[in-house]
Amino acid sequence: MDYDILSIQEKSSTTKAEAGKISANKNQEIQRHGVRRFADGKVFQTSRLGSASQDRLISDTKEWGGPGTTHEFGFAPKHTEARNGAVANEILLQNFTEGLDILNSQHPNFVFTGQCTVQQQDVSLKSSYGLDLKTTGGFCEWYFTYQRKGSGNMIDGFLAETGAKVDIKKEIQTHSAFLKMQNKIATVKNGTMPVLFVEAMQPLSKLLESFYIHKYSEGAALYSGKMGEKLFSDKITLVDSAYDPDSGAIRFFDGEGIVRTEDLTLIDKGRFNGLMSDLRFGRKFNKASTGNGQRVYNRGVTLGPRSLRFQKGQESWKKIVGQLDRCLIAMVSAGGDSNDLGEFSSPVQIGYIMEKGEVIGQAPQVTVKTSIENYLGKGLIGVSSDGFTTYSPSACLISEMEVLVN
Amino acid sequence: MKNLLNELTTLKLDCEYWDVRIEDSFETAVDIIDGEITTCTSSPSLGAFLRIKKDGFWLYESTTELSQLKSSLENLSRKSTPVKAKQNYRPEKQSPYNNIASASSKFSAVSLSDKLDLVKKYSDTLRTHKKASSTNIRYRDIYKVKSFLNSVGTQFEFDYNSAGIRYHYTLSENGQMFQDGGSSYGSQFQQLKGQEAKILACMEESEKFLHAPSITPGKYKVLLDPEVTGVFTHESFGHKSEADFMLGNPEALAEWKLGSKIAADNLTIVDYGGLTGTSGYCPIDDDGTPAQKNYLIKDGILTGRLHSFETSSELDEKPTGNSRAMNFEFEPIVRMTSTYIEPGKESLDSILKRSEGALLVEGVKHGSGLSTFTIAPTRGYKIGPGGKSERVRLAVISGSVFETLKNIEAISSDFHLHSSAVGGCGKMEQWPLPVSDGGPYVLIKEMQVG
Repeated sequence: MDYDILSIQEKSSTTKAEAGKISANKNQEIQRHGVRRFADGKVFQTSRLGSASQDRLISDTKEWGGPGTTHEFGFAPKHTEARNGAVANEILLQNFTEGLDILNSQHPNFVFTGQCTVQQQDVSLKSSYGLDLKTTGGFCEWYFTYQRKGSGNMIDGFLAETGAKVDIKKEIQTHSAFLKMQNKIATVKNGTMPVLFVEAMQPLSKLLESFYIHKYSEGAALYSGKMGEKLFSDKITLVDSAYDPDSGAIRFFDGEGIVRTEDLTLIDKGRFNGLMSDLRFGRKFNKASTGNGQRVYNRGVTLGPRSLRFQKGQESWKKIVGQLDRCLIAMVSAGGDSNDLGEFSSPVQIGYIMEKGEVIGQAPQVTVKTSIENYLGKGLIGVSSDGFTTYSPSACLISEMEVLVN
Repeated sequence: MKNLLNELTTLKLDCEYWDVRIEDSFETAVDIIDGEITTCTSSPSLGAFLRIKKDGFWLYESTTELSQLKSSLENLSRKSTPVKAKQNYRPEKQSPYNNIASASSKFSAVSLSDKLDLVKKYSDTLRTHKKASSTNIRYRDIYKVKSFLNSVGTQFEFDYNSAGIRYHYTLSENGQMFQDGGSSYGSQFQQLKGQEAKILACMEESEKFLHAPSITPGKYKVLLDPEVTGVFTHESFGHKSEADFMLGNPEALAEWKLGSKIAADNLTIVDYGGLTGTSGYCPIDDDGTPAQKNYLIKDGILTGRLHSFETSSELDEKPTGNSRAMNFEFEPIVRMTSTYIEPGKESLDSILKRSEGALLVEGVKHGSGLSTFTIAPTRGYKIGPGGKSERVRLAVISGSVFETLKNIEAISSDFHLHSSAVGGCGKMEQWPLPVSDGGPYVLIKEMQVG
């Protein structure tokens, strides 16, 4: 009989703000355990909250693990390692409170709501087959949403950051340029114009599923069969980060205990370069695991990226946008979708128009259209040397798209 | 759980208000991707959420250490608060509510083997289709007993029993692909059995979309099916009815003045947590307010909004039973339950007959809404002289919420409320909360189709 136990200990403090006032504090300290027992070619899995001994966790799998499911894809190699990331910084809660005061005083025509959580996580994966992996790290997640007074909208915008390194006051200062232009609606005509999607991966769902080894290998992905082909601009390099505690990605191992020491390059200077696999699908398609077996404590292993980012370019996004007559900054573009040909369409609920790098007003309600080939290829204007927020790990892409006023 | 709460009934703390909510859950998840079982697990969990209102400020704690509830509450009540604005926060005391209705059919009593066998059977069914290049099926169930006590003496205990499957597949042929799927829901295990024919029929219809043309983007008259109607209702209007979005914003409140005419005459929208057998079932909320049928719009007039006790106090309105937390790790906030448009009087056949040139949209991949809402339907059909005709592919439909509410031309008498145990509603960091939504077929004069 073999087993492995994924344990996550979280300790967090949260400050909440509602309608412009600090309204609540929350403390949480919780242990989560996901345990797998391997016997007779099968795996039996369950989970538990709260403290529990190893024996208890293993016996849980006998009580709750059911009939088990076939396990025929082996184990991660033996590995012992511990890494320590940043320590959660509770001062950020105070910065959040002070940030709210700044927002209230500088932007009295808005109502701000939000929260700030600082969390310390200890994650371990121990097994009978030679894994003893530990990682610790602290990070912060904060956001403010805002409503313009009198607006019929639930929200008129937001600002947010996640990571071990955040700078709440700096982001508030940066975002002020957008807040100041909330009352002014810029004119937009139907046609093409440069667009910066704050969520850069949003138009790429059909590309991203092409990196899943089973989808790619079974011909069920848009880019099945395109390995090695030059598909996009030389400026496009897309990687799945191995370990990046600064951005909150504190696990250097995946849910099966595979330690990946280097970033996985999925697109290399425009060329389709890599696939993601875990032990199961790696074995099925005769490839090694790339350490992409993601595992939540109370679920099985699923294939997925650790932390995707575009490799950064040479100029800041503000510099690139500053060279353009006009650019749409798509801040909130919820509800978009891609068809099976990789064509993407999305309304932009919250957007701003910049001219020569200056915010001149809010965008009217528009719909943007592009395709993967256009977004990463012939329509691409620039790849920035920075993220949209100060410590964002991914570059921004600025690309020409079709814009239709709703 | 009652015993743990009974020990607290005489507790006096230095605060305006306190409550304790204990949630004892048993959840199962089974996932099969391309025939591979990637998840098969059952998990019990037990935890409590503690709230204290002191000096007008909330102090929260979530814990799995249930033996220390009293001392945890006492410790919370001794904490200092950053504000000193004592409030008269005193919800009305409710009669004790005890309703363990699903004990005999609870999903925690169904063996994991039976659940796995069912999902394997459906996975095999999906994979029999000759053009299926990728399949994915998920099963989720939960049996939860929720127990509650607060400082004014309201005490309740009820259970929630919910299960569902959701499947997705990719059909491929000659370089063409079409992704589609379906789902089933039940509050008893028996309801989930015998779905093979439904799954195959769904796939056969999907196959006909493999070579369907894409719609020419533009504005169309659109007929929404009940599932799309439900998502439209939930995303476009339900969220706007949540009163916490109006706190501190009297201008918004004035714009959302109850009694205003905001929609077509024939439109009535309801939110009601008392519907048993739905995923939106919530007979009493996490403030202790019983569910009631809340008319958000009645005959085109704005008649209500959704409240917790706190938002109702702030806005001087009545609580509505919509204060809900996703689980014991979270505080309750204003959320929907079962939200739907009430049926009209005209049959679907009749509406189809007079809708030539319109577009019928069915099924939902996802939807979201602010002032502009968007829904990504799975299938589109042009409506010809004889009803549904040519199949078309489309990405999203979108529109302005208020314009769309006024542009409703017809509402069918056919009605369906859609429940789901896979996924749910997201708000702030609380996702997924089980809700249900639905309604009739709704004909809208004009929408943007992309």
